[in-house]
Amino acid sequence: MKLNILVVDDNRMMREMVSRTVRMSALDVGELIQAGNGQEALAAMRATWIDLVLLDLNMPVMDGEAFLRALRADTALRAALVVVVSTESSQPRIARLAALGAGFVHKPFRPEELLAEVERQIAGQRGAPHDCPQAAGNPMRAAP
Amino acid sequence: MSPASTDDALRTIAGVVGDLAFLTPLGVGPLLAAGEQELAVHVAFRGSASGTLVVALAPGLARALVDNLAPPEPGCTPTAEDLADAAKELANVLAGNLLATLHGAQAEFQLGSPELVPPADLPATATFAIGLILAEGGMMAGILPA
Repeated sequence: MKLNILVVDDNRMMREMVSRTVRMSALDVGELIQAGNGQEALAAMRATWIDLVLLDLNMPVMDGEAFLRALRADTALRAALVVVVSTESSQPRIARLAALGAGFVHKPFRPEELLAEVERQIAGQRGAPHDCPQAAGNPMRAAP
Repeated sequence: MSPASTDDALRTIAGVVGDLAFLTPLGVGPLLAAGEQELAVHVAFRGSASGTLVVALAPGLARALVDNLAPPEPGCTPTAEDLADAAKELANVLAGNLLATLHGAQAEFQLGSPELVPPADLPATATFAIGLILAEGGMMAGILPA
């Protein structure tokens, strides 16, 4: 199944680097979209089906943690997989992100580290119980 | 900064620059004077501690970053915006990693957006400052306070 992927980072160079890592991987990539902050990312997700979000934390307008909370509170979007890609090293903050169902990759990262975490998230979703909004037949999440 | 902290900070800088720009760390270098800087980036932070970090790049270092992060098409030259974006990302990653090195994994920080600032003699008004020099086969880092 093709994955529609959203790369969210306020730095254009890092968006390009993450996008290139994804394109050169063995992942079956469908749409590959970029956003510069959490607000743009939410708008993009309302316009286009997104399976996986690769998310920076420190961004202007809406940061990554606020985006993740908004995403999980939105019944139409909350089942999307999220991997945070950040310089963050604070264990309390990383624990909060994990509690919101996000994977984590520390910057600077090697391509194989990012891809391993993406694979782990995908495998985790496949093994998830079938009472999540996606599996329960939410019309937006069932679209593809 | 204690000598041990300075060593830890230099190790962190070497790791970050090595990963982001594929540059081998060659050791401690002199701090860059304003006239020796191609770009300088300022990152403010607050939380468990507050302050600012300035990262100054000697000529060639931003280009090395671009070549590794998002290489231009063959025959194309990176734009000034490309070089600035690469320098900003380097400063952002250095700030996040250095704060963790110096304050531990329980500390929490909010980083401001990296901003280009006019080259100035280090440390200017920053809490700490880093000067990065491209040397043959790698890079050298100077840090203040040492």
